[in-house]
Amino acid sequence: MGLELPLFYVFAAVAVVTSALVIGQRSPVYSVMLLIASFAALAGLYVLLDAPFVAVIQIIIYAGAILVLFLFVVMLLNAPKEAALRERVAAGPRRAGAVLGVVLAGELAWALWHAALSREPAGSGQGMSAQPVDSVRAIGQVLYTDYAFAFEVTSLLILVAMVGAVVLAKRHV
Amino acid sequence: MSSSSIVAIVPILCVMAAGIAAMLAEAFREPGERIPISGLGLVGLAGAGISTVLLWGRHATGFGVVAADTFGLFVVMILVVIGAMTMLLSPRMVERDQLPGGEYYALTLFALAGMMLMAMATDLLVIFLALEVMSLAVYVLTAIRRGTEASVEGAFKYFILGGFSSAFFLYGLAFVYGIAHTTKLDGVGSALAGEAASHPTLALVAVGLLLVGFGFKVSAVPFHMWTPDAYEGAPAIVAGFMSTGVKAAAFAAFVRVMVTAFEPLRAAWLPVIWVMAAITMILGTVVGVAQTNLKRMLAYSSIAHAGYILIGLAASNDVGRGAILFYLLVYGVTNLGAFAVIGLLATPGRANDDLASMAGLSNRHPALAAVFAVLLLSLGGIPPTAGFVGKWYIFNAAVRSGDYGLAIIGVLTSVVSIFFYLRVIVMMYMAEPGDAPSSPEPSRAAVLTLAATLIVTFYLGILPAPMLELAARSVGSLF
Repeated sequence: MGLELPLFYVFAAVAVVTSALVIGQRSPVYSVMLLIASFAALAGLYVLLDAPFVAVIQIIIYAGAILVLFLFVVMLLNAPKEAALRERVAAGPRRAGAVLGVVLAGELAWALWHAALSREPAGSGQGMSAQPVDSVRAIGQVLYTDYAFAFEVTSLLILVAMVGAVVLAKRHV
Repeated sequence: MSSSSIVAIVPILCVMAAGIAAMLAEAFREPGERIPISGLGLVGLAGAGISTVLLWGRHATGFGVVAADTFGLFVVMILVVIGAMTMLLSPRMVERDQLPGGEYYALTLFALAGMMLMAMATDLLVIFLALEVMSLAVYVLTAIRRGTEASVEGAFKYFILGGFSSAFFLYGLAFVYGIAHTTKLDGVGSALAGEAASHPTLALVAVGLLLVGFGFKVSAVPFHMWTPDAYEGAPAIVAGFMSTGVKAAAFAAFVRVMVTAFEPLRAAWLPVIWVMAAITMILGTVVGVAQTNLKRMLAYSSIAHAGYILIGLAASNDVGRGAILFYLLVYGVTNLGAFAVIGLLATPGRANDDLASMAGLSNRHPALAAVFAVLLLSLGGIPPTAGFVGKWYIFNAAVRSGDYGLAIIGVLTSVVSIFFYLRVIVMMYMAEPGDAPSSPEPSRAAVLTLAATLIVTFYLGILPAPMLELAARSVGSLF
């Protein structure tokens, strides 16, 4: 229990710093690597939240599969450094982005302020604690009973995605 | 899981099996050998149609998440018709544009399976998965002419914005689950009725996010941006398939979700639907007037039609819902027919889909010009075509629920829209022929399909009563 708070600060700091660095980098390859670090720190936070399954999924799927794919794409495309980007993006969109960023920051500040005032965690209603599904066994049980049909439909979805990818990517049509 | 579980999804299984058969047929095809793959699709669709008729009125449910109620089955029947038309009209175009045949038919059939599941699903999670099956297949179909710049552009815009809207939908779904602890529509409905007061903000956020997701799929303003580009880029027959099938399935799920799960929040979402319907009709019509490309014009026309169908949802009485089903059928048949005519006019390497190339079409292809004219008049809502009856009942529903505003906007935009439909007809019949080349003769299957379309358009326009009654009775199963 005593370790939890320091660990939270470590993971949180890593997540925030690496995320900030992701958009600060000029080279897309570095950005992707930093994003992996950020996701790993997020996975640590999930562990602290008693959600080991989500943490493992975060590592295997996001950090492991998706971002490695990103890395391949970036390398294959041989993306140039973003030096020219600053000039290419017009002032209008940049200003709009700045406004949206300020709005989002304001929203977050407002939400945190209210959460602090009400002195109870946002999820303390019966919403979050109804049926904690935390272990892989429990998730598997629900997935193959209650959600068996949805699970099967997912297989059709993956088949469609596969056929689609082949149609779009194969060399000789 | 009794046997009725499987029975309820037999129509979907038939279409899926046909899709898999199409893939296998392509895989085992000798190079140069020609296999009538569209025939496989027709067999599957025939199976789906027959099983739909047999399921009618039996209220079969499957796995607790699929309901073969009359509402869902009516939409499945519309989808069978749309699918059969697509299968009959496609072979010549697949050959001409040298599309990958097996994959084209397989993706079309998988998209149909997703659409049917969407129409029958009673669980938000399954609706989402079905929506994704449909969407992924349609994204690829939009891009299937990979070499064409417009095709890739349209598909890319559609894909990016579609992924974005799916994220909205999923986010809304997560909120719904957070409030109701279930994704089943009836469970959500009773949870919201009981707890709507305790989580009003969360529930509103959830409805809003789901509205964005559905609004995108039915191309309602302000989520319509992708429509003209995607329709222009896609092969004409795919655009016809998208504009009718996707819309029918999305509206079916939309109506079902709104009137079963979110009925307790009606007072909150009704004004939103009202405004969406109004601006969708107005923008679709006004911008449609300015188009010179036929596919873009029909895209804006389809946006306007989404607005008319939204009136039926806003009217929120049984007349309105029955009118939605009837309208989806009429719109599906006529709009797909109109896109098919555009597809038939194309010559290799040339789309011939701008207004100028319509000049003097009545001299070159009198029959095609006549069919096109009738279908456009039906889209515009001129009696005695089916489009008139469809609009009449939609506006009637609005008036009956005391909503004169939407009815007036609907009538006014219909009048304006007739301008751009008539402009095409004037071009075909009165303008001097331009330099557009003569198109190849349509295949016999295409001729038969268009003839059937014509008969349906007139039949539902002159004797609509039986079909209207069927549609009105079908919506009773929603409650």
